[in-house]
Order: sequence, then C-alpha cells, then structure tokens
Amino acid sequence: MGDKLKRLDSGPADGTVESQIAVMRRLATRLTGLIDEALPPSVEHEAERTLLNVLGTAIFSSSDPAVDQVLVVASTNAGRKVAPIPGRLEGSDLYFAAIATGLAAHLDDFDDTHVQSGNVHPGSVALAATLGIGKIRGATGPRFLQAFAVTCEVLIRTALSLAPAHHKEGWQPMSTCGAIASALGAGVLMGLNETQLANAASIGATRSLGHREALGTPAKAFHAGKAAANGVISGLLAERGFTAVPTTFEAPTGLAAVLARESDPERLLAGFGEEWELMRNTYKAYPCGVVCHPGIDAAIELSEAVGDLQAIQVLDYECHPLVLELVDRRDPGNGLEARFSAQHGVAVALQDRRAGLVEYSDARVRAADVTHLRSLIRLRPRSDFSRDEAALEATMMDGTRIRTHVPHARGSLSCPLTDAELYVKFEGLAEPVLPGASQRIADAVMGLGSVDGLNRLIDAVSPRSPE
Amino acid sequence: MIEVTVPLPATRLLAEFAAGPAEVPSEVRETAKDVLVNALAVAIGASNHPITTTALSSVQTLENPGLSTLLGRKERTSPVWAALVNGVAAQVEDFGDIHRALQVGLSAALVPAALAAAELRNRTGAHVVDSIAIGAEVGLRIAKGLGPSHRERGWDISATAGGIAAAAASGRLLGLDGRSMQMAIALATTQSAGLLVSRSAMTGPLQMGQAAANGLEAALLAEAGFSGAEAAVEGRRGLGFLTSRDPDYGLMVERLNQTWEAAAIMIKPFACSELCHPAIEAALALRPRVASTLDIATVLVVVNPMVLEVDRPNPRTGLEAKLSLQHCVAVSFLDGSALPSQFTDARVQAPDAAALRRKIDITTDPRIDPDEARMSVETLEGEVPQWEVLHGIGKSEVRLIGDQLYSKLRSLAAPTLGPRTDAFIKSCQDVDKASARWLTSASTPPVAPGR
Repeated sequence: MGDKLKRLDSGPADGTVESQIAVMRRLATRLTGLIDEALPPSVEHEAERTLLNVLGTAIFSSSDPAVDQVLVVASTNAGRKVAPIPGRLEGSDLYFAAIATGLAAHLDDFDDTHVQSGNVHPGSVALAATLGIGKIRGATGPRFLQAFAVTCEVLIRTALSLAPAHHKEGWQPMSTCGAIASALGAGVLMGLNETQLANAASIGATRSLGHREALGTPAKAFHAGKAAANGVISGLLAERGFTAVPTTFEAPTGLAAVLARESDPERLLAGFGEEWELMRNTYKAYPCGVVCHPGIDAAIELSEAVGDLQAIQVLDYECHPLVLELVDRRDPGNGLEARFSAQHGVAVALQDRRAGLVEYSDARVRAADVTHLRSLIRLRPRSDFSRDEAALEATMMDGTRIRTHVPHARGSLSCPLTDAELYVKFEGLAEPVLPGASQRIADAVMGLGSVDGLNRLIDAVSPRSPE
Repeated sequence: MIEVTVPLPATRLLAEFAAGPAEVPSEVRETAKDVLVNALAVAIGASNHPITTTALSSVQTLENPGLSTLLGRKERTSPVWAALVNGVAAQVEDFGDIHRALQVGLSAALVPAALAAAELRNRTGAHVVDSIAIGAEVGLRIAKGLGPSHRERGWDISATAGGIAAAAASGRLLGLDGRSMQMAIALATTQSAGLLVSRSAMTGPLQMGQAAANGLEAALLAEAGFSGAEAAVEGRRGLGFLTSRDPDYGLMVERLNQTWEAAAIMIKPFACSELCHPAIEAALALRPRVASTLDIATVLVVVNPMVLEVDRPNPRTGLEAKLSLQHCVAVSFLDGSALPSQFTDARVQAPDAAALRRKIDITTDPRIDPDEARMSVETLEGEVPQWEVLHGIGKSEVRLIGDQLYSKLRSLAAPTLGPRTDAFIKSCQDVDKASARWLTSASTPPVAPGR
C-alpha cells in the first residue's frame, strides 16, 4: 500500500503525486500508437467471434420487457434516434441505445466470459459502446472492429489489474471498469487526441457502477449498458474540453484503491498491444453463470448412462468452491434466478439432455420434474478442481453408483467452441427475431474489412420494416 | 451453535419511509426550503461557468427534447440531462449546504433531480419541499450508516449518497409506491460513484451532476417497471459491505420519521470545502486586529488531522483553491470574505494571495474536532493575537438565516437574472404557494428583446 495521500494536487507542478506519467495517460499514448496499425489476424478473428456471439445475444433479447422499460424512459429523455439497437426496428439516441444494447446483450447471461479477470463479459459492453458512435461518426469497417477489440481489451485489462480481490469482494468488474474502456473505445471512433483520450478515461473512472448484489435481477445486465453509456458520455465531455485528475485511477485513494483491497495498476499496461487478453475470451455454451457449465456437461453425459432418472436417490455434484460462493440456489423462482443456480443447470440437463434458452424459461424452472431433481443434489466443493471442471455421481435406489467426470467444460479456454459451433449458437439466437438473416449477419461480421462494412452490418442486424 | 445475524432490511425500510405518508416537521421543512432556494441561486450563479457550459454542450450533441429548465439559462433539455447540468452548476462554487457532523452536502444531486421530476409531472412547490426533506433524510441516513471509513477509503460521500437521495426525492415526486421506490433506491445504489480525489478538477462538479441524473433515471426506470436488488444497500454484495468497513444499518433506519438528520443541514456561508470553514471564521475574526496583511509573518492554524485533506499550499485553479486551507485563510485576511469571487482562477493566481498562502502554517491536533480551529498570528512587530473557533459551522450565529440567506440568493442570481431577480426572490419566498414550473420559470433569464 502506498502512503496515505496527503495532498491532492494532481499536476506535476507540485511534484507530489505524479512521480511518473499517469496510467491513463500512458494508456492513451499506447492506444493512439496501436490504432495506426491493423489488428493482428488472430486478434481480428477473435474480435469477430466475440462480436458475432454478442450480436446473437443482443438480438435475441432485443424485445425483452426490460429493454422496453428503458425505452419508456427514453421516450421523454432521448434525443434524435440516430443510433441502432440490434434486432429492433427503431433505435434511440447514442446514450439510450447504448443502455438498451448492453442490457439486451447481457440479459440472458449467454454472452462471453474472460474468466481470469473476474468473469468479465467484454462483448456486451464493447458492442454497446461502439455501435452507435461508430455509425454516427462514419467509422469504416476496420476502424469499428479495432475500436470494438480495444474496448474489450481495456476492459479485461482494467479488471485484471484489480483481480482477484475486486470481484471476490462483491463488485461486477464488467461494469466498474466498463466506463473507462468504453470511453476509450468510443473516443477512438470520435477521433480524440491523446490528451482527450486520457481525460475521457479518467472521467469514465469517476462513473463506475455495479454491485454483485444485483445478480438475478435485470439490473445486472443494465450495468453493462449503463457502463457503455457512461463511457460514451465521458468521450463526448472530453471532446468538448472537459478534464479530469490524471491519476484518478491509480492515486492512493483513487478508483483502484476504492474498488479492491489489492490492485496492480501496472498490470493494465504490461504488454498492452502486444499480448492480447481478448484471445482468452470464451463464449458461453449455456445461458447461465459460467461456473455452472462443467456441471451441465457432466449431467448431459450422466443422463444417458443413468437412463431411468426416477431411480436416482441422491446426486453428488463435485465442483470448484466458487460454485458454492456464487451459484448455490436450490430453488430459483424464475429463469433469471435459475441462471445463477448450479442445481438447476444439472437438473434440467439431466432431464432434457440440453441446456438452451428453453431450459431456462420460467416454466421449465418451475416444472415438477426439474424441481424434484434439484432437490436431490448435494454440492461437494473440491479445492483441487479447476473452475471448468466438475464431476457428478448418481446414487441409485438400489445402491448402484454412476459417476462422470468433466475435466474441461465445453466453451472453456481448454475446450473452446469452434467457429461452426459458434455459428450454430448464433443462429439459434438470431433466427427467432430476424428469420433468415443469420448468414447475412455472419457474412457482414466477417466482411468488416471493407470500408462500408459497418453500414452493412447495421443494415443486417436491423429488421426489415414491414412493407 | 450457529448464530445467524440478518441485517435490517434497510433498502425496504428506507423505501417505505420515502414513499410513505411522512409528516415532515415544520423546522425540517424550513431547512428543506432553504436547501432548495439556495441550490437554485448557486446554480443560477454558475450557469455561465465554463464547467457548466462544457457539460451542457456535450449533452446537447444528443439533440434532446426541451422538456426541462436549465437554471439561469434560456436553453432547455430533457429531464435526465437537465438534472446533470443543473447538478454541475449547483456544485461548481461549492456553496450549497452541509451536514456538519456527517460532512455531507447533498443539494447539488438532490435539488436538480427533484426539480426535473417535479417539472415533468407539474407538481407543486410544497410537494418539492417535502420531497427534498425526505430525499435528504434518506441520503443522510445512508451516509450515517456507512460511517467515516467510507470517506477515508476515498469515496466522495456527497456524490455516493447524493444519487440515492436524488432517487428517493424524484421517486416521491413521481408518486412511486413502496415497492417501486425500493427498486429506484436499488438502481441508484448500485450506481453509487464519485471519488474524493476527483473533486479538485472539473470532475468534482460532474460527479454531483451525474448523481442527480442517475437518481432521476433510476426513479424513472423503476416507474417503468425495471427492477434491481431488494437488498441493494444491506445485502452481502451490496453498498454497505462494499464501501464501508463497519456499516451500521440500524443508524440508517432507526427512528425514521421521528428524528430527522435533515434538521442539522446548514446553508454554507463560504464558497469552499466545509473543512476550511472554521479557519476562515477564525481569520475573519482576527483580521480587524491585524493592521496590514503585509505585517503578517506567520499564521499558525491548528486543526483536526482530517483537515489535512485540504492541506494544499499551491492551488492553481479556483476548484483546487476551494480545497486549499491556505488559500481560504489567505483570502479571508486579504479580502475579508470567502465568496465565489475569492475563488476565480485569477484571484488564485494573484501574487498577494500566493505570498500570503506561503505564510500559513498548519499543524494538527486530534483533540480538536474537524469543525473547530485554533489560530494565532505572528506579525513583524511580534504581536500574537489568538482566536479559537469551536463548532464553527454549526454555531447559530454564523448560520445564514432570513435576510442573510436572501441577500446571498440575490447576489448570486442578479448577474444572470438581471431585472427578473425580484421575481426569482419572490418565487423562492412563496415556494409553498408556487407550482414547480413557476419556480423553474422564475429561475431563467429574461428573453432577449425582439422575441
């Protein structure tokens, strides 16, 4: 820990705080260097995968009541509807479109996860922060994809600099760090200079949000959209000349200090632009908390081996200790709560041999067969298990025991979804809202290399107005 | 033996208080009225400040519908952004109000949010006053329950509690029931933000404006049916555990509607951090006993260690000077006041202020409370007058009451409102008989001739 900050003077004139250049300033410098160059091909491909995946979740939930509720507030507050909301006929202004898009994208908890940073979901925040401003400022396809990738990268790295304490204490890193990342991503699309970018990031640092208490309510997904919207506004303020304390992030009582008992602000910058954390992003195979996934894989395997589910007496679920910490919910009341119920994931996967959106509907969550199976589950924490590992053991009425072990969950870093699997997932999400548009959208994502790539993408994710 | 301690359902109890049939005692209503009209005047006075106009031009790029008044300005914008810009303007001069014991000044978040909600739904001035009293009480109870560790860690309590206060006040003006109010408070709580370290830059006022906008937006979202965490304040991953070492939910909810923290709010007599006020009072008292400021060799100030937060010998801007004990003491001796004109960038950079700031010597003594100061002056002749200020800001003799308050309002509003200043003062005096829209309309400058 540094010395207690005695004087708050921020500039080099006093020489009290800035013994070196502020973290956000150095980040802005690295960023302006980075955007002059094309993304490395592997990073570009991972950014495309992240984008396609999150467009799927955003489109799927674009007409959820929670999104409609945000747009009710927008009806008296929003300005010109110049920014698109994927999957909806009508957009909103930059601010409310960002809230609505991020909210929809994360609402089903089916987007993406960077595990090491404290389960950050970079795609939802990055899509919400960049789509509208990219359109309004006439971004080319490559520039848009770059800004999207950079938003993800800064978000993950900011969270990493606070990990693991920050997430563990009870914050949602996706949104606490989201405004900083979004300010920079949006700032790149606005063409801000280095000084403006540094200010935008520090302004973003004063508008953090997101307590994990909101898990299981729409507020959790609202965090994603609002973080993006806060970032966009921070960019607009910096563009007009608004300034901030340069060391807002790393000062001894700055953002990093209030958000985590232990942090390492330098971690944000180490290898920035050379080593991409975005490459470690993973795409959820199931629409629920990522720590539930290996249990679901195990349940699907076990289901076939067991055959008669009625004959199960008890189910021992061996899991990483974090499962008990985060998702121990035997009786979820609805689909949203079930997304944070390890018991529901296992029970429904045993019964239905799959765990898609239908299996997380309110009706399925309340069904008697699933409720019964949930009641048989005993969570067994295993400190020697990795987070993407689980084992399930069914003890049958006759005493027979059947066990299955999953070393790495589907969709985890060790067992990533292939491009083909990702497309199947995307199609399942996009088809109900935009029938027949999936291939066109996927082509538009892969075609962002062209100058008018962003316009084509926005066109592809917008419903055809009824003629 | 397993012991289970369940925290008090603070979120629900605060929401029920905020939405319920609270009867605000008359003395608290009077305080709320002062808080309201003072914040209006402070915001009008800063309506052309570059920080205000920069914030305004940024949100104007969204081309918002003009449903809501911008205090002291002819333009209009939408409710959420009016709350933000008015909140920035109400904080720029750090001249609002303060709860001395809790070191919280909520009005820049609270008043703009309430005003925008009231204007949107055409509420009465009396309704606004009640809602400000109740919103203030919610914010102050939150601050009290979070305790000093919240601030020590680095949070700007006025902003973090301000957003929740703003949600409660605007939710009441929207007519939310207890359940919706709980969701409004929850949505504002998960967005509690703002850092002490940011207060010395343009982000300081912005944090308060953002709290105002977040609070109003949270109430509007809750009205539309949006929901958040039922235990947002007291839950295991909620505000209390995340931002305080020792949250006390009892202090947040006990005797609500019976004892009122809001009764202890004071209108600020000086345009700077409340931590500087006792030393300013001491300097103003000693000033007549010093023949010339040129004679001053050293000013020795003894304060509580907490006041080191404003130990800032070389401020460069007005915003930094408002957080500089040295500057506050220096201008008190030089100019005999600590009003907005003592905190312009030009005044801060003037040679006489810089020279005297260097002669201010600060020492700390934990036996002195944060709202006390002891001061002695050593002159070139060697005289050493002494002055002690005990319980500075809270003392009734320095409280702005009646005419003093209205002369403060007049001096703040007149440069912007010109001939309409009298109408503004009248609407402030008659706020209980007015509609919110009359009040906001009286807070704008005359329309240019020919329109």
